[in-house]
Amino acid sequence: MPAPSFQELILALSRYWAEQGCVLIQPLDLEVGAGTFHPATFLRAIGPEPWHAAYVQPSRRPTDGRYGENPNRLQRYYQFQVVMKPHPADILERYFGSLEALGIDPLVHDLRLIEDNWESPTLGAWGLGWEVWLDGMEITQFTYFQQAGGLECKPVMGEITYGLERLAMYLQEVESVFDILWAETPSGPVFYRDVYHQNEVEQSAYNFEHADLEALFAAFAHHEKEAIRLAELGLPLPAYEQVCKASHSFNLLDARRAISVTERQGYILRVRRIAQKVAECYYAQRERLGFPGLRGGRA
Amino acid sequence: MSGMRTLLVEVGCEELPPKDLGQLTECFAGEVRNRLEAAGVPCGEFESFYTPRRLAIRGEVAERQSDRVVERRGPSVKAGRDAQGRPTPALLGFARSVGAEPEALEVVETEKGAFFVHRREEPGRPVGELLPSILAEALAALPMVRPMRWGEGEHRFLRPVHWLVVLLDDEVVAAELFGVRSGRESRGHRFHHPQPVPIPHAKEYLDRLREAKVLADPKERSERIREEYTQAAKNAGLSPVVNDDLLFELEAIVEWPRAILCSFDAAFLRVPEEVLMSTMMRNQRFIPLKNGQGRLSERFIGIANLDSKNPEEIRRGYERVIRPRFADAAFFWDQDRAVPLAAHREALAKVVYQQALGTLADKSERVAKLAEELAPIVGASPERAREAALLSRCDLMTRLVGEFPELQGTIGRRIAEDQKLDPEIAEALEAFYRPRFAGDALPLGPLAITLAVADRLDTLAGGFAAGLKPTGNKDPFALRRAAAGLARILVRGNPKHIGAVDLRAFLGKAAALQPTPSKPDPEALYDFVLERLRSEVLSLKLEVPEALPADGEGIVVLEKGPEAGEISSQTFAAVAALRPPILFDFLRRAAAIEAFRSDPRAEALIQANKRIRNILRKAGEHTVADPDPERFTEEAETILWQEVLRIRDAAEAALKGSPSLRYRQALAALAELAGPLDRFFTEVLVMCEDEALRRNRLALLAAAEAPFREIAEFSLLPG
Repeated sequence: MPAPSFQELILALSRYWAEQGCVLIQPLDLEVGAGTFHPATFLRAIGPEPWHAAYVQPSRRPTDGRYGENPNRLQRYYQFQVVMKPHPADILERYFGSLEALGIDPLVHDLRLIEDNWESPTLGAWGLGWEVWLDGMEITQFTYFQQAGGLECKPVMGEITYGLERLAMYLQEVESVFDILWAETPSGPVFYRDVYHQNEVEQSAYNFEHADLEALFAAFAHHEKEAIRLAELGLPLPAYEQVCKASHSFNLLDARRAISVTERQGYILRVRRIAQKVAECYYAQRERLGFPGLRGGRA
Repeated sequence: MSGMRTLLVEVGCEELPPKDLGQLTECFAGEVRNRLEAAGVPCGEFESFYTPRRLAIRGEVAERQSDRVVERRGPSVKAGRDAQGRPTPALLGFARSVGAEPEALEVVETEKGAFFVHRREEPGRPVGELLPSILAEALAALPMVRPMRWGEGEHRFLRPVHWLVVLLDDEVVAAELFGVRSGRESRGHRFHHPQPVPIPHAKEYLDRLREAKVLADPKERSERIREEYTQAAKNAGLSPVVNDDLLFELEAIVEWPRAILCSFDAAFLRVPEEVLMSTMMRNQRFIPLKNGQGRLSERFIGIANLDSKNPEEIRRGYERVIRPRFADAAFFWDQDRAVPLAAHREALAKVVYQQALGTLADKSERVAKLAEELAPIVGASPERAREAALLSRCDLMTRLVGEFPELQGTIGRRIAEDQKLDPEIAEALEAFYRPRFAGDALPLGPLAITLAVADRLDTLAGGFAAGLKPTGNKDPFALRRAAAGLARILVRGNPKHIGAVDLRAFLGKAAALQPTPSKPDPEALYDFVLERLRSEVLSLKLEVPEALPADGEGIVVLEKGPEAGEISSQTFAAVAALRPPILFDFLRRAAAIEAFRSDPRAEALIQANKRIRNILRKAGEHTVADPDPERFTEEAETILWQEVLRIRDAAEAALKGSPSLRYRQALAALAELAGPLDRFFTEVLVMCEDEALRRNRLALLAAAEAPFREIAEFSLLPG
């Protein structure tokens, strides 16, 4: 089987996980650092309601930007996220099935689960799981959520996060992320560089040089306040968007090195505090609604 | 053994964390065995096995519990019969509860009087009936750092549990653990043999799994890994670089190991080999290969977890994964080496070492001052010591140390070598971090020792000054490690270098250099080091030669050896009471005392010292004046005084002699006081009525004791 293009990779994973019963939803339209921030993972991990979903999430890591000059580092990249709650007992086998669907033969390649316990200090979330290594290269994070927003996850959500660029580089055997074939089109091949290289150059300049510090500090404070206010108004969903925005403001400030090592911990704790508050508010809200997801239909 | 059966338990899981897997499985075996024995089931030895996907134990167990007598005690005889000797309601109730007639109950005499008892012989139950609860208890008792929940259940274990095999010989024992029912079906290799593997008999466990491409016995797996990489290295004509951590981890993350020989672009070999090796070993669990000259080669070995249909694909994968990592490292190395090491000092001035203690540049300056003073004593050049101290933390500012923090010091050394700095300084930049952990090598050269000692002096004084003294198991500044390192260097280093370092004086200097408003107490620092010295010295074995050498060192520090002597904790305390400022001198005193204790007169002398100490303490006598011979009334007094005068001079002369022999020679002289002291105590009453006489005798005893106290506090020795 010829190596899939980047979009074929997304299509194949989407089709595979749809067949496993996942709802295919779309990316969150906010800047977040990982697919875990999408309410379809973070909020849905909370409470007893079942939930199975898959989606692509653009993920922004301002400090990882390299002005498009490093073949392996990007300040914005894609994760393919699968969440299953409760997870089926054979979720690992299903995951390996997805790799086979991409043409990776587990009797040829060295596929390994290497212990990796995940923790998001800002979200007050943690879980146990693995990095998945394909011939020594990490292509996936696999996590059994134990806590989110400081709340115990019952039942447990299984979370699978594919690093799409890594996987595509491996399958297409290219050494630079920018050489990934995005799609073959009638007017010729389109590469990752054609789609995103200039974005890396300009966004790196913004992240490291031009982001307005004063506005970002103000934004952080504003979003923090809003998150608390909205949570107190019993509006956990908009409150949670404020948490995401506060977190991204912090990431930008961090990239500008505007936060000293000693202050850094304080900011992380502040985000965690609002994430926790919103998580509790969300749980209370679902409880008030009678956990509609338990009645068969998905709310 | 008849009546014995083989028990096999296998808990099948998703991929388990490799750390402590071996200990955990052994612990599981121990917990099961202990519980069986406590329940009266004789057991033989247990074996434990594990792979990333299973924990298993196997052992010989008796078919059933031994029969036992169950005894229940009822009411006392007093309470059990009334005045007419008839059974009371209490006795009748008891008899009913055990299903016996009151007349059939026995009476036993106890300390609390006579009681009715009921005895019943209970036949042992078959072991299979006991196992379900014993296994559940044993698993619950395992020390798990981070257990997890999964699915909808409430069970907790290291990773989700999928299958359970419990066999007694060839029979399945019905049990349920973690919501999984037991059976005889294990699983083979995740990809080679995904279908169930029935285990017909507990004894066939390893063989059946081997057929399903799983080496369940960790010893067999390590051996296979060793064979695999040894063969691959041999094919390449190179030697593998492995350490215990790597081997252990490899063994815990594979079920079916196969070596894959790979290579990387030789151009990367310009990067310090420690960086490349760390990348391979720590990040990727690859085995580096060295050539005949001991230099890193461009080839390496990866251990795959399968018999690939196409190992070439894996090789290409391994080679691809290492390339960007090496490219990053090479990029950082090129950047770092282009900057003179000393140029980083500016940046050090911006990094806070500790709030109360200033920046890293401030710390380096304090270390430089101490090193300059220490250098001539250790045998190093003060100028170089200063330079080395000022360079000693510069590599913390490099990109490579940012990426490979475990290589701090090593990177400094490599950059210094690359920039053609003084080779002794380059070496010291790496070596002064030693010892980094218990059992690590010590710094060897005088410059490295100077820097290592100066750095730790400042760390300790700074830690105390900033109020970071460890409490309980909290030691945020790693002061215990610093003190232990200091103690080790100062007793185990070459005496030529460390034999004259006055620790108390230098702790004083280090304390005075701290930028805090109040300086730490040097004596408290000395006590803190002494605490660490204790564990260091008590674990030392010393070889004390039979004949005193004419010159040179009289003691040799050994790790162990048949003729080695140990220092006892009493000897340590006896020497510590004197607070010797030079730690190596501490060791000499202790060694001399240990040698002296084998002298036949030692016990009597120690006894005499204890007695004198007691008498003087009770008398509250603090006189330092010699006794007045005119006041002697007994011959024993006169003889003791003459001997004290003679031996005191001999001991004093010995103490001024060769450092390595002084204490042994002084003790040899002092041993001659044994006889006169013994006679004195037999014939003379110290605490006599006549006060003048009594005071004179106390003065005589104080004079006899004084030379001993030049060496150690003898009254603290056992005797």
